[in-house]
Amino acid sequence: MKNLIFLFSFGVVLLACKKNSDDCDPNMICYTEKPDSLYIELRLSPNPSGDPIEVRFFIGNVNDGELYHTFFTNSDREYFHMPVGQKYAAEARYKENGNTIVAVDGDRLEAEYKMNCDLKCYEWNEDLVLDLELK
Amino acid sequence: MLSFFHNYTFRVFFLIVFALNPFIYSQSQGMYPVNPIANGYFEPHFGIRAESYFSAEDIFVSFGMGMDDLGWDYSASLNFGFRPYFKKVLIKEAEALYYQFREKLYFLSIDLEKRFFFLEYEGEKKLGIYTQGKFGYLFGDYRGYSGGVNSRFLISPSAGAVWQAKNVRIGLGYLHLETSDQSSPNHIELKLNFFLNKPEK
Repeated sequence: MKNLIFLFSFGVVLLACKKNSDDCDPNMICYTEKPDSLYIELRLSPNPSGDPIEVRFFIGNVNDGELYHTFFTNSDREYFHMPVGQKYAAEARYKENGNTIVAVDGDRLEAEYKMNCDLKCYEWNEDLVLDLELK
Repeated sequence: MLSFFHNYTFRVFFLIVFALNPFIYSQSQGMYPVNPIANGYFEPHFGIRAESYFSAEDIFVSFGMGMDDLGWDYSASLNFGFRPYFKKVLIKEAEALYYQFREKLYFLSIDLEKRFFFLEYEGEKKLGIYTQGKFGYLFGDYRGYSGGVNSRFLISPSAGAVWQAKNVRIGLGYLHLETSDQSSPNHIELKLNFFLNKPEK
C-alpha cells in the first residue's frame, strides 16, 4: 500500500511538471509569426589590464566554426542580430599580469515559443546570452 | 579536512536523523545494538535513488535504480549524475595562456555499496555506516567549443553514516570525486533510497 502511495505521489509530481497544452488566455498578445533573426548578447568584464578587449564572434564553435567578426571593445555588452536555427560562439581575450585569458561561450539561437489557445506564440524579445565575463 | 567532516557532516546527519525520528532519544522504545557482520540472508528489492554530491564550489545531482539486498545489506545500482548548470572553469592551454570555458559534466556509474548497521529500534529502523564505490565514466562538454573535456573512467570511493527504515534509506557521507585538476575532489554526499517491492508484514 505504501508503495502505491509513493508511486501515485511520484506520478502526481511528474504530471504537475508537464506543460499544460490546455492553457488559454485570449487576452495574451501572441506573435504567431516565427522570427527569422534574434539578438545575441555578449556579456564582458572589464579588461584587468585596462586595454580594450579583443572579441571574436563565430558561426558554429570557436575551434571549428566560421569566424564572423573580430573587434575591440571597452563595453560590457555587445549585440549581434543573427538568423535563428544556427549555433554561435564567441571568445573574449583578456590580459592579466602577463597572462592571456580567453573566455569562451556559445549556444544555439532558437526561436522560443509557448502554446496559448493551441497557437504557437513566439518570443521576439528573447536574447541568447553568451557569458564571457571572467569568473 | 577530516576534522571538518567529523565536526560538521556527522552533526548534520544526526540532526536529520533526530529530526525524523524523535523516538531515537527514547530508550524505552527499545533501541538495541546489532552485530554488523552477522550472517545475513538474501532479500533483494528493487530500489530507486536520488543523490546529490556537492562541495563549496560544485554540485551534482544523480538518479539511479538497482538492487538493494536488505538481508546482506548491500546494493548495486546504475546511476546517472550530472552538474545541473554550466560552471566556469579555467584550463591552462600553454605558458601564460588560459581558456575559461563553461563546462557541464555527467557521471554514469555503477555503484556498489555495503552497509554495516550497529543499532536497531522499532523493529526495522537501523543506524550504521556505509562504504561505497562508484565505478563510472565521467564526460561532459564546453559551451561553444567542440570536444575538449577530459572524459575518462574513474573510481570514486565514499563512506558515511546511514539510517534505514522499512522502505527508505538516507545516507550522508564523504565522496572523493576528481572532476578536474583545478577542483577539490572532496564532496559531501547525500543519498535517498526507496525500496519499491517490500511486502507488508
